[in-house]
Amino acid sequence: MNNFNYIQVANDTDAIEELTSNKEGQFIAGGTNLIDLWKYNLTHPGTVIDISGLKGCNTINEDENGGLLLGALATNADTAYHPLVEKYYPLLSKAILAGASAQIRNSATNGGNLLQRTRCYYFYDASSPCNKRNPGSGCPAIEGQNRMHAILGFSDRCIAVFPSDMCVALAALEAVVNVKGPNGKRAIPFAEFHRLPGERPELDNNLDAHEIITNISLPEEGFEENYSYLKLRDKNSYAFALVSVATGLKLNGGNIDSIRIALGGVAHMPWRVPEAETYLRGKEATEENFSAAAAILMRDAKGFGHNDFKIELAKRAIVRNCLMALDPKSQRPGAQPSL
Amino acid sequence: MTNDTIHFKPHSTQFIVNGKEVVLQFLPWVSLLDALRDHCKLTGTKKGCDHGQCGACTIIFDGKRILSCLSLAIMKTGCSITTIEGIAIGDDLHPLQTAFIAHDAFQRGYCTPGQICSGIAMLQEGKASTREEVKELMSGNLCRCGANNNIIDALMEVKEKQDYE
Amino acid sequence: MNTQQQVGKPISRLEGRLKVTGAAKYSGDYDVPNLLYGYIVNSTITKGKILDIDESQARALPGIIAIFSHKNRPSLPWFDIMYMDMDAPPGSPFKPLYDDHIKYNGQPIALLVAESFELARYAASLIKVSYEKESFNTDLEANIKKSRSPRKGMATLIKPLPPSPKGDFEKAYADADAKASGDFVHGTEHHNPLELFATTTIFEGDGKLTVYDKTQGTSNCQVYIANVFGLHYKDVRVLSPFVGGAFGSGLRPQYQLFLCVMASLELKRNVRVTMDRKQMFTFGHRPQTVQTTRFGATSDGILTAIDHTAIAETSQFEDYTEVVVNWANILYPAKNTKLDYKLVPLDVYTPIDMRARRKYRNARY
Repeated sequence: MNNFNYIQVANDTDAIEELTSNKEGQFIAGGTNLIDLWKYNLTHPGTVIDISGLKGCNTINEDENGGLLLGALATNADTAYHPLVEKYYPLLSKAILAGASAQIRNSATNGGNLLQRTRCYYFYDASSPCNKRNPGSGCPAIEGQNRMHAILGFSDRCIAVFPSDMCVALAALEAVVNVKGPNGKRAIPFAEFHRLPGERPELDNNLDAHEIITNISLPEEGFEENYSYLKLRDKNSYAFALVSVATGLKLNGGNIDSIRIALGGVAHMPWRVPEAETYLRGKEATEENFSAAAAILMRDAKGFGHNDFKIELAKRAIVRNCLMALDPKSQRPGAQPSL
Repeated sequence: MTNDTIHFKPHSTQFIVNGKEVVLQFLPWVSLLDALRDHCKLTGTKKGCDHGQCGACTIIFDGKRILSCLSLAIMKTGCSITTIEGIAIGDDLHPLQTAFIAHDAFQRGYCTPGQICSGIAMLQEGKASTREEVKELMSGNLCRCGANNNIIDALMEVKEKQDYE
Repeated sequence: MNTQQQVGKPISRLEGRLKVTGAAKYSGDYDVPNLLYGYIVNSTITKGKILDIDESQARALPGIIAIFSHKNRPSLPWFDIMYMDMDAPPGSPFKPLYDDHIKYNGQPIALLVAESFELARYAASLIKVSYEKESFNTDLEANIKKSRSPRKGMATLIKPLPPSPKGDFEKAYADADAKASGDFVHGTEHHNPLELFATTTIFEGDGKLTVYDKTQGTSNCQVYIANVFGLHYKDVRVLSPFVGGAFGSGLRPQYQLFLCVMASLELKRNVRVTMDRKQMFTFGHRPQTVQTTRFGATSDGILTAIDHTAIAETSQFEDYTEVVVNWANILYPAKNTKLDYKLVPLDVYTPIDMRARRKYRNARY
């Protein structure tokens, strides 16, 4: 970890100004991913701008459209356990609680969760080539160890996956990320916030260089009656997903009125295929129909040797999770399989 | 990083650690864990991985359990911190400490300070009802000696007795 | 006290109170005045040679006290016997910082010593090493054809090699009423105790050292330090009252002990060196093994034929052995046995004992 300058800011305008005027400036809030990256010498801040005390950014409030505004600086724990989130957006609560550990959730913020970096072994090894850290140096994962890596949306430059659980639920809920920068405010639909690696794997998301996330809007629909988050990993808890699935659905009798399915652990961003959701609309909530939707979601999936198992695992996980969503009370801690 | 961008400007930092005020100067890069161990000489909190993966460095900060290895000391100025050294009151052990001894909830004992701080905070969070939920909410604390079941037994005993202020 | 009355009753650990209050001190906990901190740099290639170490950026930092490498290490003994600790397997012990050769994956190549831990760690990241790489072998299965019999030595007296074949296994197996066979592959396993390996050396002056070391053998470390650094063993005091887990990894002196003591003697200062978690994967570990088994039995279940071969990895410089295949015939003696144990030297550090069962990665049967 290099030595760096440290300043505190009290509001988002000052924060943006400091970031704009300081070369190699980085915001810090909870620091649970950043400090880790610094210790591994993966990023080298020149000036660390402490935004953890920013006024008004750590609250959770109802908004005028019947939805919810999650402050970017609210902790993951405070968000997951907030009465309004637990009641109206239980899918989000369950997804957050499936991630990291209780200690990390007490420090990590919502904004930070969206901006966390991949945990690819080669990205995390400063002595290894990595197109994300060092564009043009190569991607050793493609021919190397790739158990945790992507099976969808990859490019020949990068097969990393995005590790957040919270974001899989936010993708399914069609949240909106509200940001502010030197050119003013804008609202980024969740599906447009993160990027696929393409030719620029060094870019994880579509934030401009000096923008700050202020809050995340959740629309009114939270799928509070039928939802499920399933996380499959090498340990029962405290490990990143190999495959995870977030499902929210609304039933009309035994038929699906609307459904959202998002996958984690399989791509550089949460994976949704609207065609799979459209396919299920109006159909019966059966294993057979969920299987057909899973096939659409996994179309074009390809493994790289050590992660081939993810393709079949994901198909089964999608079906299982959609069935689990029919009975949320049966769900177990740690987003483990139930039924 | 080139040398001309190095800044060596310590920041004055004030914490309340285990009820006592501590005022020290830290460079920004000092973690809360290293501040407690090397500067405050409170070596009860342990460094198991220094990367937030083992939970041995768990302390209680403003009533919440956090990882001190993933916190910068200067960012916690003005805060109240409880370490393992502050859990017992004089010679009187906290009920969880007594339960750990009674249930043999440790062998080598290196994970123990983190387990106890994490466990007390977990009980106070009040989010675990069943044994399975206790296990899930303690999953951020690793034990390599295999005392896990005994740790959960100790926690369940204290939870049942509601004896954990 | 009637001892019999105590048998079968649960009893609390004597040191329990110390552990649950954080009062038990481990090797990196001791409050030592005027302490310097060391941070180790490891090779980023598996095999080859160091061509150059560029220390310029590290040296430019204020507060850096010393940088040790093979280029400037103190004079060290040449004879293997001076480095042989009590648990050393047959072969040639590794000598840290001895020369510019990189022999194995993760080899330590330098030590930064500074006034603070953070400075030592940062300076370590600024060291730039250029290497001449050689091809390497770290995969047991890919190199299985290179297997050979282990060298004999003190270790094989304590850990006997398999007995010679008995009877005629092939015939007995062919004639057996019932047969079973299976191949098993076990991956490398690392001890990874919670406590990071650490040494705190107090330079007492007058040729004396007090060393707090994470070890399962304080006498072993005492004699090792005395031999390697030319001290009288009575002048070296090694203490390790509490160990935060070792599971076998502490049976031999680890390289942070060598580096810490070396720095303390050279600088005439108190020094602490703690490994980081990545470095905990770079020393003794449970070796990879490939095991093939064939069993023949009569129809009423009496084993008549046992064939068990284990091939394990070791380093290029020491033959670490385990007793793997002897057990089947000890537990269930059969008239016809073929037991064999071989090693494949790989470019890794020498394996070491590990308590608790190993877990197989692949099985075909």
